[in-house]
Order: sequence, then structure tokens, then C-alpha cells
Amino acid sequence: MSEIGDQDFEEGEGRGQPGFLYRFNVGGKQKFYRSDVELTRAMLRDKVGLNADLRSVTRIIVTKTMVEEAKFELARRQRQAALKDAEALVVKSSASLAAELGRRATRTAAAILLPSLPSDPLAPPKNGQFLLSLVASRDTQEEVIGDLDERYPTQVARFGVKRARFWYYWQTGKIVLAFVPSKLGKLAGLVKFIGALKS
Amino acid sequence: MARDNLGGFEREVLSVIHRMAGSAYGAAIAEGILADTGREPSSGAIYTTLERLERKGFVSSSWGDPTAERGGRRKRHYKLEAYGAAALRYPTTTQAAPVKAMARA
Repeated sequence: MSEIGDQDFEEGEGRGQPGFLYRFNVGGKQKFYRSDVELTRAMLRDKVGLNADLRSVTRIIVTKTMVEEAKFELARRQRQAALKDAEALVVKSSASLAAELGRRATRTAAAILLPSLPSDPLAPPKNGQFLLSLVASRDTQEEVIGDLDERYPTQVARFGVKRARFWYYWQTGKIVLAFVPSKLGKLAGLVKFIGALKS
Repeated sequence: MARDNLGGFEREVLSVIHRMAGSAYGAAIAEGILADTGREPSSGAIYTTLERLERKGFVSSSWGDPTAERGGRRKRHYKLEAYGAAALRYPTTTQAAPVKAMARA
């Protein structure tokens, strides 16, 4: 007794349409049936040796249809998931590729352009803040550096970059010198206080 | 009293602050003195003077908003206090001395 397999019968286009015949291979011979019910009943009789009634055959057909639909739905979802994964991979690869290309382009552009570009003449020197940080509080540094930075472009317009830079350092030096005595005074006071504590 | 003393440069700075009416800050004060006297004041002198005037109670200061031209740093605005305005109305000791000498003669 052989089992019923998908390869035993063929279904073409037009299933369910009037005049459509289901073809079933039995022992090398082809048989034709008008409906799903006839086909299934013949398959059960010839392959399994079972004479099934109409209700059982209908139940088998409904179950088979549901299984087929479930298989189809599963395949559709798997295809969609695979497609989504592929899309995500493409997007990710494109983003990283674009980022890498962008980085390379920036590096190349910088390498080509930067040596030929002059530094911004209106940008004030950066060393002043370091000098001031040695003697002045954070608030004083903010006030003083802000004022010098604001006045620097005016000095450039009046006297040119070279003299403006000299002016900037000169003023910074004068401010540092002006704040040193108060810093030294505080230090001297601290030393005196420690000395008084020791004695 | 040391609190009453007002030097020549302190008077200059005070008068500029008075003229700017609340919008005075370090750079503007320096430009104001430059415009008044025609000579570039030392930034060190300006900040130490401002610190001293604030300690004496002649001026008060408040922080403004950061601006792009200052590299995102805030301005410190100085305002003339009543005590500073009163001190500005009277002559300094050095200015008053010749007047007193003339009165004695």
C-alpha cells in the first residue's frame, strides 16, 4: 500500500473552474476527475484502500487546504523577513560605506586645501588664556579673554595682524603682571599664617 | 578713610562707567578711555582698577549673556553705585590741594 504524495496528482491552472479536470497517476495510468472530492476519494481508494464517505473526504480537503495555506503564509513571511533582513543589511552597508567615503573625501579635501589656506587673521591668539589661568580666577579669565578677543579684530583693522598679535600678547602680559602681586600677597599671607601656627 | 580715596585713573574709569549708564564692560571702558585721552590704557590697570572700585563699593558688576564675537564668553557689566556717583562729584585729593593752597594764601 503506497502513501498519497503530491507527486501522484497534478493540478493545473483553472482549478475550481467549470470543466476543469483533476489528473491523478495510478500505476502509470492517468485518470481524470471533475472535482476535488472525486479526486480525493479516488486517491484514498486506490492508494490507501479506504472507502471514505463525503464528510470525511470534505474534512480531509479542508485540512489539506488549510495546511497548504499555512505553508504558503509561512513561506511568504519567511520571504518578507529575508527581504527585510536584506534591506537592513543594504542600508547598514550603505551607511557605513557612505561614512567611510565621507571620511576619506574630507581627509583628501583637507590634505589638498588646508596647506594652501591662510589661517584666519581675525582669530585671536590662543596662548593668552593659559597665561591668565596661572594668576586669575575662572571668572576673571572669562571677562578678560572675552574683552581681548572682542577688541582684537579692531586692532587688526587698525594696525594689521602682526601688530595686533603683539598688542594681544602685550595686554595679556600686562594683565598677568597686574594680577601677580595680589596672588603673591595671598601666598605671602598663607606663608605668614602657617608660620604663626608653627610658632 | 581709604574708602573715600579716588585716584586719577579711577576717576577716568568711573566717569566712563557713568557715561555708559549700565552698559560698561572692560573692552568698552578701554575704548572709552582711548577716545577720551587718545592713549591706549593698560588692560591690567583697567581690571585691577575695576576690582578695586567694586571692593570700595563705587561700582557693582553683573554678568551678561555670552556672545559669538567674544568666543562664547560672557561680558561683565559694571554699574555706577550712588557712592561712586557722589565720589565722582567731588575733586580728588591731588586736584583739591592747589585749590586749598590758593585759599590759604
